[in-house]
Amino acid sequence: VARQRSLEPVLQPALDRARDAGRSREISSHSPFGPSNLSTDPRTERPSDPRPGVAHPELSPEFKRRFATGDPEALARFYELYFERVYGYVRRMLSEDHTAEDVTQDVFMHVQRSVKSYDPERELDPWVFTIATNKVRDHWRSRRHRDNLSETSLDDADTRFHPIAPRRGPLPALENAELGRLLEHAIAELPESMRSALVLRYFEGLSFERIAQMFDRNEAAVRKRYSRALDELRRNLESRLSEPEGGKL
Amino acid sequence: VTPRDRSADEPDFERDEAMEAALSHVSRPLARAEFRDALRRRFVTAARGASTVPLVDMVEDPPARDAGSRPARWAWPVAIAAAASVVALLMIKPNESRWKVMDGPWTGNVVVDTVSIPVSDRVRLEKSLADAHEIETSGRLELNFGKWYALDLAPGTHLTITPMEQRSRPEPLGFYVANGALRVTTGPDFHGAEMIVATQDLSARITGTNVGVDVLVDGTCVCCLHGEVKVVRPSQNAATVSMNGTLRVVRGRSEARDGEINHAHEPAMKELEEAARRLW
Repeated sequence: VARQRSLEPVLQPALDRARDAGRSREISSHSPFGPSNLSTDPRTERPSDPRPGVAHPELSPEFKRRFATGDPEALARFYELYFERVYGYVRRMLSEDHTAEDVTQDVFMHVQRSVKSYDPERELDPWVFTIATNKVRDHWRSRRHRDNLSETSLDDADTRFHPIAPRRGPLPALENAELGRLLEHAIAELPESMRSALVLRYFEGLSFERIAQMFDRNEAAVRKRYSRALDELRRNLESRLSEPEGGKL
Repeated sequence: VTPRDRSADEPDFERDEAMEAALSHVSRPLARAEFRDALRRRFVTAARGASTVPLVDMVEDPPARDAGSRPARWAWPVAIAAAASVVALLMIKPNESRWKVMDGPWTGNVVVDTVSIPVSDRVRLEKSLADAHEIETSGRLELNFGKWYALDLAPGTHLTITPMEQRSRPEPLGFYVANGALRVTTGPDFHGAEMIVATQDLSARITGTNVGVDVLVDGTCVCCLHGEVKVVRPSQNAATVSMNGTLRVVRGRSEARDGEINHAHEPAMKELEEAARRLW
């Protein structure tokens, strides 16, 4: 309970601001990114607000149909809509700029080659992020093979936790940017399975159901994985803030 | 039940909500603008090329031959020769590129699949071309692919090569020219093969000749120094450009102008031919 309370001064202002801004519905664990928040107006396909954690609007059936035929205009539009999201996902999963570029390139080249296998009746997000996830896995496999590393896969890393510094001290007041920076580092240290669940759910707005399908898991397991990822972040943050340097990185 | 146990088995929505609110301060990782732009060009250009000019289909499905034009008794020797060619190709070391930079006063950089390589670094450039899908030149450059063909790329040429997995044979025989100009001289090993050079306006079917394809501001110009080349356009009848001839296609218009070879494009074709002759 003490640990739970210790982060209150840091997290409460952010929560208050989010609630004040009326965003608590969007980021609530109960019904975030629901269809009611999505626009089907093709004029608003690109998110007007690129903040993380904001839902990405639904794409029109006409767009998806044209995309599935390999229509160059639809592909160009697709690139504009998905480049930042795919790069952001891959970069968060790999934590290296140049590797993220290589894998992002692989993702888009794969999309280009296999676009005609896409079923326009289905949602585009899970299709794209499944490709991205597979490319990230391919990279890990090749790197493991090359470096003979025993890394944890996307599917079995739930039990890998990081040690928590035992030191305790007064928590510093944090500016938003500082809090964001600390959390970025904490996200990078999450086990891969938690990180993918967190990024796909929170930053890319995929539903638990879709993430579960992507990873061949049941929805409850993904919900739990997501919640544990948040818990890990909280504990990592607490650990960093308890350091003598006051969490400076 | 400790807080740790509860978070593992039963999500604490209130705590999750607080963390999610904090996550709103995490910024999205941003890619380098150069990378984003280069990948966009590659993604969209290749898609456009694949859409308007069916490179792969044309390479994989050549027009049906007249059954009587090739006597049956030739079938087995031809098949054996083809198999021997495949075996010979398979014996080539995987890391050994058959692309070579031809001798010449080339300067500048070549962007090979988003990686910029100085022309002066020939070894690296030739190696990277082995698996290249997209090439963009800043200056003029001449390359040869073994004894198959030699290419002259004008400054500012943006070329997309048919990906390996879409080819019906290992040699790169499909090119999409988005910008600039590509001149081709075929070599002794090209015999019997077919190359497609496509632009957004047309595709040129090359079966052994010296051809130049120049992408212009308002269309595409196909010049033929030797032999002949077949030009195919969407929804139009195919046209043949003969020796010392040219065909000019204006974008958005159905008619095409033919005439004598474009004298502005001819010198580079002749230079390439002479350089290739010295090489082979």
